[in-house]
Amino acid sequence: MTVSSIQRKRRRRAKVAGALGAFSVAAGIAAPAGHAEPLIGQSRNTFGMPGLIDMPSAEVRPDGELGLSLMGLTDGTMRNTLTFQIAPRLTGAFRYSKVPGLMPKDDGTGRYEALYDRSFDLRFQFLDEGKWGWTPAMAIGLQDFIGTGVYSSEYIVATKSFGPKLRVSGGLGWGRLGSFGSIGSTGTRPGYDVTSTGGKFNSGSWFKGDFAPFFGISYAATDRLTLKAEYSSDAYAKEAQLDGFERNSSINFAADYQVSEFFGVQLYYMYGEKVGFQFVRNIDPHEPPFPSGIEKAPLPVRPRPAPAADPEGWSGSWAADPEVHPGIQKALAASLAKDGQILESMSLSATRAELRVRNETYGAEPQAIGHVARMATRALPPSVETIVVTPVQKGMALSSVTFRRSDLERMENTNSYDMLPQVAITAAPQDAPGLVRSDAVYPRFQWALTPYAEASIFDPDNPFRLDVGAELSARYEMAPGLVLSGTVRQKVVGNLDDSTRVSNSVVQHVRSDLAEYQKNGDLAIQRLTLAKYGHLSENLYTRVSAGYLERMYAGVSGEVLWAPVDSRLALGIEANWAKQRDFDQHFGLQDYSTVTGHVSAYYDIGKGYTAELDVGRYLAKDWGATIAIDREFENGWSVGAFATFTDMSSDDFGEGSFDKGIRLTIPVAWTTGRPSVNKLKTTIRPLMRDGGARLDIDGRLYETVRTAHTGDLYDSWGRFWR
Amino acid sequence: MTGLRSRALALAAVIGLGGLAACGSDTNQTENSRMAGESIKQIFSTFKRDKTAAPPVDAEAMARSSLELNKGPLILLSQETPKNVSILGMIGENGTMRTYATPTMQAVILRGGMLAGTRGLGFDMMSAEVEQTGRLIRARTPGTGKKVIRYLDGLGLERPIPLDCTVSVGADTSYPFAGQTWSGRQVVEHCEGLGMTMDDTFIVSAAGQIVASRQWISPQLGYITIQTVRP
Repeated sequence: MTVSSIQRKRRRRAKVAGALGAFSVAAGIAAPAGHAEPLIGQSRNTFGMPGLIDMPSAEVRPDGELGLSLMGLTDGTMRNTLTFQIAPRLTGAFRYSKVPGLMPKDDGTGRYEALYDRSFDLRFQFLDEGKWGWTPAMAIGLQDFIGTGVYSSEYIVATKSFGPKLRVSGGLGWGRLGSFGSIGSTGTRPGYDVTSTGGKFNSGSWFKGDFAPFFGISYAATDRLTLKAEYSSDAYAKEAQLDGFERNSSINFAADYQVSEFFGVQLYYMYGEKVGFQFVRNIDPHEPPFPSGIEKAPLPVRPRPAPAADPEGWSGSWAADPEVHPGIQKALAASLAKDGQILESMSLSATRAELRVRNETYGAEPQAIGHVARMATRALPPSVETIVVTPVQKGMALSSVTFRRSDLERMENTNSYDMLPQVAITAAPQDAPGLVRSDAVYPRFQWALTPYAEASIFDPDNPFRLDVGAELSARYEMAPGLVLSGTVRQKVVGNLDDSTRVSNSVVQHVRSDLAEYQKNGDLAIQRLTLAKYGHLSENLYTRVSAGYLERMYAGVSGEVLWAPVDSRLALGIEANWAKQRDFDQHFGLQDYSTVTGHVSAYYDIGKGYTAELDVGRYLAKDWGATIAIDREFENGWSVGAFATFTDMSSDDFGEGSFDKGIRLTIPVAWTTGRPSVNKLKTTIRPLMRDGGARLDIDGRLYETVRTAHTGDLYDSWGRFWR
Repeated sequence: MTGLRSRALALAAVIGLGGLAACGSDTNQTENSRMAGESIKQIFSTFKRDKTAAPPVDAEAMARSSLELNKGPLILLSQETPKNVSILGMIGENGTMRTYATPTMQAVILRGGMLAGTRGLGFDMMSAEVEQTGRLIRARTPGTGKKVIRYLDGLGLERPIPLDCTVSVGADTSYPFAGQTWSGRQVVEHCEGLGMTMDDTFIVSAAGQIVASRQWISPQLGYITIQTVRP
């Protein structure tokens, strides 16, 4: 048996968290006997991947973990890497690096300056350690495989543990990793070309050219301290040639100290003269600060009295009294309002009640539904046995969850998954007979004044710029699904307007003028739209938005989504007419306008993976498709990547060759432990160019509709009795 | 140079704004900036040592005053980590299950006096199957039984912990609390499962009522002590 670093990590966690450490190990990873686990490495290399110093290892990180590592060397090299453990054996990375002296200056002096470069890595651990007794873990990896290729290398590497503390890694590298002490060659490899636009899959050169061996050891001196040494097969040839990089030794050393489970620091001594420092922050979506939430307890179920104790209530004769329904609806609306939910409408008969509720508080819809169902047991007369809760968003009824009241009474606070088979989740008609709208829900006006911050990263002149200011947002809901909303920003201080970069795009600047928009922060109207949402039939949802749709475009946008309540597949069509806005983001418009739109398919692949395919016409009138794959966690986290390929040539597109990026969604409730429907969403694009650009429309249908469909309801059903 | 200066200004503004409360009726909009403000405050508060010790709690006085204010069943709950004492009133009764809550709606759920859930504490026990040992404990009879406790894991999925338990019976005891003398026999329930062990203790009256107990909630929250104030 191997005692890997995850076990060390677990031991520490067990100390910190008491017995739950043991619990999460046993319950979370209930592996069948004889099932090997991927080999997890605690320490990262300078490229942010699990590994030695400059060299990789065959190790992975815990499944689903995100890692941010910032590394600097004394010669000015910086490597800032975001890693994601895409699957238990598949690691991905996105990196933003500064490589000193590799970029020819465009001032005609023939001198060189620092190259700011983005790169992507992938590593697959194809063999588990101990699979056949003595075998090491083995991995195959691609480093910088779609960037401009300054760090481009491929490798096959093996890592073997000797006892709980010592690990030895060794492998063969190509590209940079085959540039020192090479022992052979497989074909020819095109040289690194700094002038290329990059961005293409350089698959033609993978595992081509010279290859060289590398190896190293890591020793876990204590639970927290790991010492490493390696023999590097990276010659730093370009750096030596253009920037005078001195490589006096092939032996590198490092000391890695884990400050806590989520923070680490590392010191490197490299190539006989350089010192490096790395800071690492790990974020594991599986480990929120408060798993069950700091919130108010739900009101408990109130069981019905025996029929003898309330013959009138059980007879249903009360239903003839016109006072009863309004009285109950008013009481329930008040109770739900205290719970952060809005009772939009309700129907009531002697045996059945339907409550249509807008949840504005709980990120997990089943928790909201559970509260509504329990409150209903407290308010409804005993003869009502069927309780239907219909989640509503933007005026659209998303699904109906039907309970038998006796199940709620009998199963209160038991295994929540025992409750699930007892309920029916069905499509909700937009209007059902007997529904009575609650008083004073519409019109509804809400506003908020908040600070904002906007940063610009990846600008070679100044990789980090920031504006801060005040943001005023307001929403006016005139009727169900009819919303006038807007956001205005006023910059207070910042340096986004220092940017002197001008888009060099040779096509219509549909996105690449971002800096021009960012420079204008005085009362900039971010959005100002009137939107109407609708529910054509049980499975068809619609949206029409008009106005200042986003920061760069005004226009009209229409969308239809087909999404059956229990379907893994949803299909959408969106068509927009958009006209480019003035840089000052007031009411003026520029000349450029276009018709853009897509046919979209959304598919829940299973095991937490979802795919989205959008085919259509983009803002620069280019035609093509966007493919996106996301890994979604039951708690609402998601990490994904997307790429867009259009008929715009890579020369027209410019640097990067095609649009691509990664996107990240973190539920606010995950970070605070308090209930919230909000999510922090970030899209990281290495480059903002003009090809493959879509409108950034607020409130697209799929994200709204799915929250109360079976996939999402099942995932978070554990919170039903919360 | 100007870049540097304005960056410093921007940073100062961010810190300033972080402390500035956002306002508005749309709480889903104001939440993010409130969150940022809170996390900044938290970072600074970790450097400030809290020198004021909490005043000692007079549980007896709390119980007496609550008896006057509230006519329903009451319990006194002492949490060990973090240290906290509060009076909870019954807000729901469903068969043998009772839900007690503080005025701020932190709740415990008891089934025949056995802890079967907590709500609003952050590392809550979602539910528990306590019938087998509960029957032994209330009958003040030694024996063995199975128990299942459920928690939410980090993904929000419900995870059961199956436990094997042994019930043993101790001596009789009697003590005054909140104007009443409480007497009963000590009963201990020792449970093991998934590498965890816990020892819950109960004082059970001759009528089979659990009048006081010390029961385990979760790894992070440890044990709580529950004393009946009014049955």
